[in-house]
Amino acid sequence: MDTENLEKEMNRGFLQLVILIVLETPMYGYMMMKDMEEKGVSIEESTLYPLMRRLESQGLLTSRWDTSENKARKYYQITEDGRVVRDKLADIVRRQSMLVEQLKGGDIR
Amino acid sequence: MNKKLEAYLSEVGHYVSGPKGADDILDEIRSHILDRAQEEFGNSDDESVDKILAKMEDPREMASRYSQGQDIIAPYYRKHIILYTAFLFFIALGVSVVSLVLGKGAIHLLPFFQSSEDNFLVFLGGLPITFFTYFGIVCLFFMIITKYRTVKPAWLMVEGSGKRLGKPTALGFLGTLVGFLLVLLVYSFQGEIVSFIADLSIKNVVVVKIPDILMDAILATTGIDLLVYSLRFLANTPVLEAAGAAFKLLVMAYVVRRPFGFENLSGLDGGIATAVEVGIRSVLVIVVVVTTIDLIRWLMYTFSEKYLR
Repeated sequence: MDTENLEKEMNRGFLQLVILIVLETPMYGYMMMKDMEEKGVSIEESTLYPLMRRLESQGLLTSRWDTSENKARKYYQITEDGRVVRDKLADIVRRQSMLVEQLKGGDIR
Repeated sequence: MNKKLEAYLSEVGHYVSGPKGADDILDEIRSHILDRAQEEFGNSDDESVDKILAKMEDPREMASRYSQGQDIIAPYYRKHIILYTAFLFFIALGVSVVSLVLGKGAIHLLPFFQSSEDNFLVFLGGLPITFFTYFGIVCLFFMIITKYRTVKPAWLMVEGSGKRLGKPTALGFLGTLVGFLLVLLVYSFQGEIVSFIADLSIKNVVVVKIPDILMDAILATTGIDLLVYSLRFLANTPVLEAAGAAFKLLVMAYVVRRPFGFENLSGLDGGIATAVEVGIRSVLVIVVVVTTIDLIRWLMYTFSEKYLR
């Protein structure tokens, strides 16, 4: 059975958390994609950029254009509100993970 | 400047908007494509950028990712636009038909649109104006409730208002046929029947000959019912019911506005015949209203069948 769609659905919330974790250090989009890829999280640009904008509009991220190099790049960084949300989300994921372990009771590999 | 890149961004920009404007989004995508070209091919020349563009998502799809949850009209409401417009439009049309049937001086399509019944072309021209005006009103309504989501309209269950077109049956056909034949029988022998009752000379019974025009109308109406029911065996569609209701309204429009001239055969007070005429006219008005409602419901059902399935 194709689990791609299920994975996409599950990833939606998960990716927001990952972005909030990764952006403790200021990064621009492509840099983030590479960084996340190295850490084993694959994300497409068409998902990443709109997601970061949504988080920014919610006040969880902040952004600024850096034009000091020959190429203008937009850097994102987590805000204080973002850190609070990130910690809450991380807690939820931790609890969900424990719950799955309890529920599967050794039947699910 | 890479032409393909600018064309891609222009296409994306056609569909996106954001709090900081489309330019901010496009600048970021441009920066991303150039970075990716640099990373994957060692430079960001035209050839490399073209290769990256080939891997990028379709511009419209890309733009739609930015617009998720920012619809001007929510998808759920969008599918109701035509239905609600049709609802308002047919109410306006129904009011116009009733106005026409009752012989009022003007045909009201909108609160501000009136046309003389003498000028039918103005009336026809008013139909699209009315439709699109209501379309605009409905869109505006949905835009507002999309923006302020706390407003939850009570949705009208208007997909036929619960009315469903069942399959025509032999029994139903027989009933319609018998009804028509009975009317035909009375129609053909009315003179004899009335004379017979009048000859009985029963006291205090008013015998009034139904005027020919009214009998014609009753015969035509039952004939339309029979025809519609028969045609439903060939194509069971609500359009037929709507057309039948429309034709019946036309027949009534023709009849109601003409003098009936009841013939009082019982020799009783002539005022009674007038009272009978007033009574029958009142019944006709009720029938017109009911038929108009029926017409609206079948037309809406037709719309919902056609556009919402």
